[in-house]
Amino acid sequence: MHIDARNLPDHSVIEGDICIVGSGPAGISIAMEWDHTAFKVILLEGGGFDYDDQVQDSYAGKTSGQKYFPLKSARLHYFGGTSNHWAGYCSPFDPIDFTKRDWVPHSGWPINREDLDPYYARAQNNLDLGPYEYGAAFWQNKDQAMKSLLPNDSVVWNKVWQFSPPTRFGPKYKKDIVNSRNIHLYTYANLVDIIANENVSVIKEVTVRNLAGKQHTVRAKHFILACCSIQNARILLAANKQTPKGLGNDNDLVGRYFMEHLEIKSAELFLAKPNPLKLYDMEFGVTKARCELAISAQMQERHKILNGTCSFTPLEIARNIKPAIETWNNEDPRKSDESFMGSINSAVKNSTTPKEGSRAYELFTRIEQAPNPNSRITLDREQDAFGMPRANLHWELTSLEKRSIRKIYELIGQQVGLAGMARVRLMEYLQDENDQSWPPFTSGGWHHMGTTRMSDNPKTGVVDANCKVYSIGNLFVAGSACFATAAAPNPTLTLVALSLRLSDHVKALLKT
Amino acid sequence: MKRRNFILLSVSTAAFITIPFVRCTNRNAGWAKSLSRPLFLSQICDANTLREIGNAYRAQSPDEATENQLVNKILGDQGYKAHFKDENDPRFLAFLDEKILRDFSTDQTLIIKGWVVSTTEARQCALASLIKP
Repeated sequence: MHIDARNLPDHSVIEGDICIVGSGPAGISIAMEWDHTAFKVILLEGGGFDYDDQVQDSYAGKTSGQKYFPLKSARLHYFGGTSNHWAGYCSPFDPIDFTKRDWVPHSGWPINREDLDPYYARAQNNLDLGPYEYGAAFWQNKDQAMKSLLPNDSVVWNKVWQFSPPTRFGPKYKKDIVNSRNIHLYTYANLVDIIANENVSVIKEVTVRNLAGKQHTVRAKHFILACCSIQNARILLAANKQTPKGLGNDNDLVGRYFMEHLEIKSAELFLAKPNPLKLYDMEFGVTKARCELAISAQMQERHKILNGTCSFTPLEIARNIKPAIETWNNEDPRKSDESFMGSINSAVKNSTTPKEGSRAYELFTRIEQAPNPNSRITLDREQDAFGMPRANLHWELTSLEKRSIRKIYELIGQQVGLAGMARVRLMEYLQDENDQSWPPFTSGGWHHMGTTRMSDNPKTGVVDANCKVYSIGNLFVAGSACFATAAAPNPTLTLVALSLRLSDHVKALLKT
Repeated sequence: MKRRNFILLSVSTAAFITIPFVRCTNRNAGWAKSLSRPLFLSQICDANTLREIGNAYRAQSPDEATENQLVNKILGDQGYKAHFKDENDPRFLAFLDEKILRDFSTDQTLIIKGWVVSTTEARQCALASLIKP
């Protein structure tokens, strides 16, 4: 069922069993788990079914620290959320990503990879992926031309990525949700406040507004924030009428530990013979799976480095692609997307790679950043059109990220040397091990994580292992905001898996 | 001291010092030349890049400044002459290949001018920079 909240009488009261705030991959995945059940699900979306620049403007905010994309264009604020322009890269986090690593401050989840495995398998369907098979051999058996660059995997291994078409959650699930009898989608329903009981232990209701000047109240037994890392933190911090520091923020953790993936060109690979590197190649819309080089858990521990992976682009193409941080520079996400894709398409169109493959490749890193309490979301004094304080992002990296990237390419360089296949040359910014600075082309991956991190202790996390906000009985957070560490893979598969797990948990609560 | 004796003494002293040095610098000339071309790196780097790597290596390893020092560091000791007929011995190339692979497998690598190279390769480049500066 779909209701446009602009058309409701002002000050309407909406009631249901669960209220999901946000209709991106997390919110829609949870909502669809409840279709055809006896429970009434309220799904709130701030925008409509299409892009609306006035609504999108509420995502605008200031950035400081490490240079970042304009916040307004880093997420999409309409039905389907940011899945409306994602690229579809999926891979599960590694077991080591969930562990407490003594060389990575603030690392460690209260759950492990095995806890998520069944949900990863289910999430494959939501994202239109293949089987839950992330071993390289499975895909190599399907195509003998997918040969490994390296003969063994004790130091550097082949980590598989699968590619979603990419699934646009809006178009894919609109019909099901609009036709559902028990899922009530309200578009143009921007959450602006959360009201708890007197001792702030239970959420009573939330307030939504739209640009038609309407304000409504939503009541439910359980509330799930699924608005992305920046907005979830912003909403909790702004809900400060009953608790001055904001909801769930007794320990000053909400908004902290914002994490991104560093995505940055890092080195070049020179092969003795041309090689198409098919195992590592990706043709958009065609390739189902490919590998990136990753560093084994043992080597991460031995060298005390972060988890990161390396992808390959023929040098003749890569040298003509502008860094994302340069092309994704417009507040309007449509213009940024056009500029970003334009640079890639132009580079591909104007370059010719020999059939037998290239002899030189750019090595591109995607790496987790160390959880950092100073990397954070705060509220600005300026308000958006709904009366909500805007979000500020201070993105801050540590020296561990750079040291890790340098070591990753040293290890890859050693392994390709040992294989007698190639040599690696690090880019200039990595050559001086004492240089802590980052080059101007340092980019993120539009992957917002952290801000309401998961922990088994309320002093070190905002949500518990079930994604429930500590001290509040019926408030949950869905999505990558709960990540305690960022791992190397793009976050969508993991955030959908975590959301399915949360959905099961809330179902169990309602049954009791 | 008479002028004649002084000259004779000076000449003989100079010869005493210089002749072994010349012999010493020359005795590995063939080996040095052969070693100054790292085979794999030469396939992917031009001569100028090899010299740059070599210059950078010598700058960070001042105790490996001469051809002899570099040759001995690469070949380990003087025993190589007993193993190989001369620097053109095919077994010599195989020995070098194995040594470079061993470097990569035992962490005997360096990052020089951004290149991840084996220590042996770095020394070969250093020789290249000395022989063809």
